[in-house]
Amino acid sequence: MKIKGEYTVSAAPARVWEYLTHPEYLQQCIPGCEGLKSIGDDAYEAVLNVGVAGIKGVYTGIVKMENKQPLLAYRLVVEGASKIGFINGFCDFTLKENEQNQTGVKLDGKLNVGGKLARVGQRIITGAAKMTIGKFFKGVEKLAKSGAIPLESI
Amino acid sequence: MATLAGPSRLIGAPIKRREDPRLIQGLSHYVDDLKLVNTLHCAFLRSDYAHAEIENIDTEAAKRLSGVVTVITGEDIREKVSSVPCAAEIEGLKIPNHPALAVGRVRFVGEPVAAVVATDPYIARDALDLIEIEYRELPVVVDMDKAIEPDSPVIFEEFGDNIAFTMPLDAGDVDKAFAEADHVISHRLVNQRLIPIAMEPRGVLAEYLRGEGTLTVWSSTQIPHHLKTFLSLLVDFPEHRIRVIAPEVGGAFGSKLNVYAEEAVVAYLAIQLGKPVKWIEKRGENFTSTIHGRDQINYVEIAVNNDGTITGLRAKLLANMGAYYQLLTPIIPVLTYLMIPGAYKIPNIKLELIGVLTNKMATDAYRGAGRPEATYIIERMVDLAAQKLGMDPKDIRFKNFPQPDEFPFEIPTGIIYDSGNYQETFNKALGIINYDDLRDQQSARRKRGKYVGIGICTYAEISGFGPSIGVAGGGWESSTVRIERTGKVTVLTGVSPHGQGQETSFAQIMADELGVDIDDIAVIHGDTGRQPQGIGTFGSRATPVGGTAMLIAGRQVKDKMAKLTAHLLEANPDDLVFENGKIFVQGSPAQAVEFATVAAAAHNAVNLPPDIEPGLEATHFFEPEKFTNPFGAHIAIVEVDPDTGEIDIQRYVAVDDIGHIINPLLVTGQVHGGIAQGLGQALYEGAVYDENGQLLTGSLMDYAVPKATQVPSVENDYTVTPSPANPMGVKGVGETGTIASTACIVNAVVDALSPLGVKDIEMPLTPNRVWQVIEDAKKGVSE
Repeated sequence: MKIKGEYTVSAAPARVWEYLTHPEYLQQCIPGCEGLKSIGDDAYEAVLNVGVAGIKGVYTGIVKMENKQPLLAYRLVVEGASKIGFINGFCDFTLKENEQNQTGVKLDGKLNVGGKLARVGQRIITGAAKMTIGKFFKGVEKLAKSGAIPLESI
Repeated sequence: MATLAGPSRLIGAPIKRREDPRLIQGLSHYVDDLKLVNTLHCAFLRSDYAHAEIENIDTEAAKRLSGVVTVITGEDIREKVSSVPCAAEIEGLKIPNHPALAVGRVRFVGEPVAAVVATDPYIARDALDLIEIEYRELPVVVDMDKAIEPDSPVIFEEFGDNIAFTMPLDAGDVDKAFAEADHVISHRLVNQRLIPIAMEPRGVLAEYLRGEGTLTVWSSTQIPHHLKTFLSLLVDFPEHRIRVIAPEVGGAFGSKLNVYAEEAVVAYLAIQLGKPVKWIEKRGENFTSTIHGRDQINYVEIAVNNDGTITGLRAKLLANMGAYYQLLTPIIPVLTYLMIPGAYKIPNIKLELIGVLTNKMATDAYRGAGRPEATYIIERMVDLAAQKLGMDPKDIRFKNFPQPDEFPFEIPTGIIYDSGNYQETFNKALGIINYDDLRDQQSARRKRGKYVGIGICTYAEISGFGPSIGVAGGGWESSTVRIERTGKVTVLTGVSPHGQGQETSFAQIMADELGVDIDDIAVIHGDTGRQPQGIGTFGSRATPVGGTAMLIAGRQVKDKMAKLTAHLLEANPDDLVFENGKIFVQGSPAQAVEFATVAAAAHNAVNLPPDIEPGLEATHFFEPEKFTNPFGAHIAIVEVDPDTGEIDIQRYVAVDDIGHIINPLLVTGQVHGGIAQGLGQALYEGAVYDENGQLLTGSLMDYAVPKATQVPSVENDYTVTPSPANPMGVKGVGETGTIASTACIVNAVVDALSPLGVKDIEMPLTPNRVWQVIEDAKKGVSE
């Protein structure tokens, strides 16, 4: 499954970059994320509780950030497995400031699903993925609106 | 030709199925209905990956779950359960080892990796979630065209490539035929992968009695006798101490003409644990891990002259084996190869059949098994030729049929069609549908903007499998007929019906033969402990082969009864008549002796003639000398809605020739069911794997089996050209509908859209796909 999308976040890239890469913010924004534990080198152990097409499961896996170009772009790599199947894939995030000092975020990636999730859920998995990403950016926008500042500068 | 002895009273009568009352009242016993004390329940953990190394399996947590008895993996049984069998014998065939539980590597999604046994089925299922497996993914092979390229990843490294076998044929002078032909038509035809979907999924129950040293296995199978033999080899248990029972079997369509890993593992576990072990397949498992059907890509060319004469056929057939073989996997496309000329005289044929390994579930026999594919290929090509020549598709067919006096008719692939009169059958169908007027009506409706199509399929089939030389594991059948002491008749048969209705049709044959009431005849099947020998039900063989075995055994018993009766009546046995439960000398019904009285006399054994043993029982093994070849003509009228792509089947006429008919009600039921499944392939069904080998059509939400409202009312008729292959002159009917209807429907839809320049549409013809073809064609026309 291909992932493509464009979202606008009401904050400058310096802040949005933090929202998109810092584990604490990520955990707040990723729907169903129950834990994100650093295992070094921009890699995290993640616990996600998600349901698609009536098949719910707790996924445990690895989330990695690669090719980081601060404030501009990075690749998020995901590998997860659960009792209802597996998910793996990547998504390239590209950030660009617009004239209103907001940040446009472009997504381009690919997600593979396997097992029961593929067998039963495939018809609506694209919709489910879109909804999940939409929820994620709603979370990011909420942070931006609340004026949450980069954690490092606290 | 003489067919049956005695006055025919029940043969040919539309008797309702004797099986149905128990089925519709829920009184049948399927495997899951059987309850043995202390039964343990098995569940299988299956691979979510199409191709991966198994780096580690941790079963400790599953073993600790309360209620779990044992957990086994491939490593645990690799020395104890041998390779899942494939009976195919093809020159140069590469046969991979097929462990019952994966060892080291998984090769398709749904491959069993571990088995759990627990005190109840839900605990067994829960325990599966506690097994941790680490996989390392490998490149996946899903596309047949790519799989045979030299740079493709390889599924079995020891083979070097993914080519299971190649089978060439070069008959006549094909190159000359093509060089001299007025036209050459080339086309790529896809017979998509299908999933058989029996109403009852598979199920196995095994019980080992330590004291007696016996293993009894109940399985939802079409071949209990083969299963007995193979189980003895699989789990190294003496065959003469195994009994296999196929209780009520809720449909199979070829999917249970097999020996599966789960049958071996459940039997093994029952022996190890000393308690009954049961496994019932879930619908999801049925999708991923019970055999699939079809899945061929066919590159076909035919050479045709301006007058419509087809002079040559060239084809490369790619047949998807899947990752491992099941019982007959490589054999199925060989039937496509053998039957590719269909009902036509095509003197020059060159073929290359290539079996291709991919990371998918194995294909195997699915109703029609290789012949629907062949029929689809030739019937589409014949229509494409007619379209090219501007010829009526009716005329090109008549042009290329063999004449009735040419039978037995040998086709270049070596098959000899037993008997036929293709003209008579086709003419009958054309008459019923009023073909000539129909073409005029079609023109008129087209002028009003309607997309109306007429589809024809004139098919020739091979069935009644068959002589043993042509059937892996033997093509004979065995039957025992026993007259009980009270005069009741027990018919034991080695065929294993699971919806075909032989408890009715076989009883009709025997009632006529012995002159007794049908209610006095019990037809027993599906139990190796009662009917010791047999082959099973598949390939439209039950009546031509199994019915013949029974008829001959019945005649042997009848002969013995006649001798005994002649002794009692002081008459000549040749003068005796068996009728209405009585036996009497021809012309003297008043001096009749009751059938039951003779039966009792045979068992009391105090007044037997010197050369007669007590009892009335005979067993016969029938080995047919040849295959049978049903044939027929199906014609459909469809209308396509150009705005939605929906297809309305307005009429469907099926005229089939299956030789003599035992029970027209059962026969028509078989044709109806076959047509439903064939139109399923044409319009709705298709197993879809993604590029990673994930089965995307893994439930009945995503895999569209036709519903009752989607199947047209069929107008059935028959011609009767008896088969010389057996004394009843029957050919077999189980698969004709599936063989004919797929091509018939597609031909009709293509004909409907031909004014737009449409030549072909890839199956299934879903509304979306048809709409897209219409839109593309309209654009093409306007440009």
